[in-house]
Amino acid sequence: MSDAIVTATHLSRDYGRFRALSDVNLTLERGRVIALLGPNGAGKSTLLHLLIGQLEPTAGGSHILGHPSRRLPQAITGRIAYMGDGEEPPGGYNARQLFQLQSQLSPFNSKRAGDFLAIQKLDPRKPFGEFSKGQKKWIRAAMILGSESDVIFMDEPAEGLDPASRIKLYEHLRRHVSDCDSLAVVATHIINDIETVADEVIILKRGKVLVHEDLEDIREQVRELFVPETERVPDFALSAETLGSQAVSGGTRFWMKADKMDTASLAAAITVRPVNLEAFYLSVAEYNHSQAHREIQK
Amino acid sequence: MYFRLDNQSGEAFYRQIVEQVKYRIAAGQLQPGQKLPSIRELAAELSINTRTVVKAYEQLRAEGLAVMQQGQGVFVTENQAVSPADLRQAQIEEMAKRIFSEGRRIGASKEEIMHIIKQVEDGIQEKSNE
Repeated sequence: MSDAIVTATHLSRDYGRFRALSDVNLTLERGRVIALLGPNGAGKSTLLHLLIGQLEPTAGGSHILGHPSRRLPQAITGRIAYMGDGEEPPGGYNARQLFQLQSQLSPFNSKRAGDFLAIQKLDPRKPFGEFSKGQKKWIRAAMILGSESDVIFMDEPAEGLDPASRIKLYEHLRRHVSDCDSLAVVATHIINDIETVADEVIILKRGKVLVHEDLEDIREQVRELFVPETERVPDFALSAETLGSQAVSGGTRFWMKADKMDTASLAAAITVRPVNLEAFYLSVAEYNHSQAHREIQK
Repeated sequence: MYFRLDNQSGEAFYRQIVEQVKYRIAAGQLQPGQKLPSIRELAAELSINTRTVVKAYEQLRAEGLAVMQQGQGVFVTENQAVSPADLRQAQIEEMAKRIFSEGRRIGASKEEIMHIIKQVEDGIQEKSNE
């Protein structure tokens, strides 16, 4: 039996003549935390809106728990939690009332939501509108984490939170995913914080999926090669398999999979080291070879 | 039992767990027969997927360092084929390899490196004698 609970096939969306999302194919499983990364305007929010059925696709489609996103029965929408970027609940309600409202829409664990709220020592009786930007995010996250959802979508949930709170938020998200065997998809720019808890990464650029990989595989396989300008660039670094390259002072950095390298023949001055997610992200989103070629051909 | 993961190192998490267990066995902090944290416990503590812990424990088992006992948990192997001394040797060899390859890279000769190691050792001795 497959654990896939979110799927997309050839999912595309245009805004007028602008193609915001192009031919996205995804299979996402239970028990996983997915980091959805990409530069501004890459299509992250559009993808989330399409998956939850708020937007009509121009082509292709998507399913959640076996139902088409645009025709989700009420029983299914109650099992999907979405925290958008910007959309806020009415300011007059306090956290306790918001939890109450949420619990009418879907199964809700008030204790879990309350515990999460208590981390920041937020008063559940104070009106939502009177909290700071970061505190509002925290309350909205509490509503999401309190829900007994199968699928969680969050769009920039950590924005406006201090570093310690960002880490706490993701730790609790991980706990939800482990305890409820749910799936969480988090669109974010802040890579560092989600790097520990995420299982997979999807990198979008200009509406296309550049990468969808298991993070452990990236850590295991992707390497950064530094070739000082005094050394000849090895042939394997110039192949199409190279993920990206960047000229820096004193030489060139290349990113590629370890099995595409011939390290035995390397000059001593050339260094090879593992990469973290941020470096990997930059290698494919900013310094991608094929992207660079396309740029040149324009 | 305290484990920590470095998400900036680029080293796979399961490998980091394997290395930390090995380090503890080598240092005598983990004794043969001692129980390792349960898969769920360790995954929760580190906020990672249980699959990553499973992979680490399977690797330890494959290397003969851990045994899984159905329903009871994961334990450090008793009567190990690999002794703590073997593990210590492997770890120090790794460190030495790094010293020599990095040293060569910046143009140091073998004699130079050995001389520096001796000097450092003398310094540590002096300090502990004070």
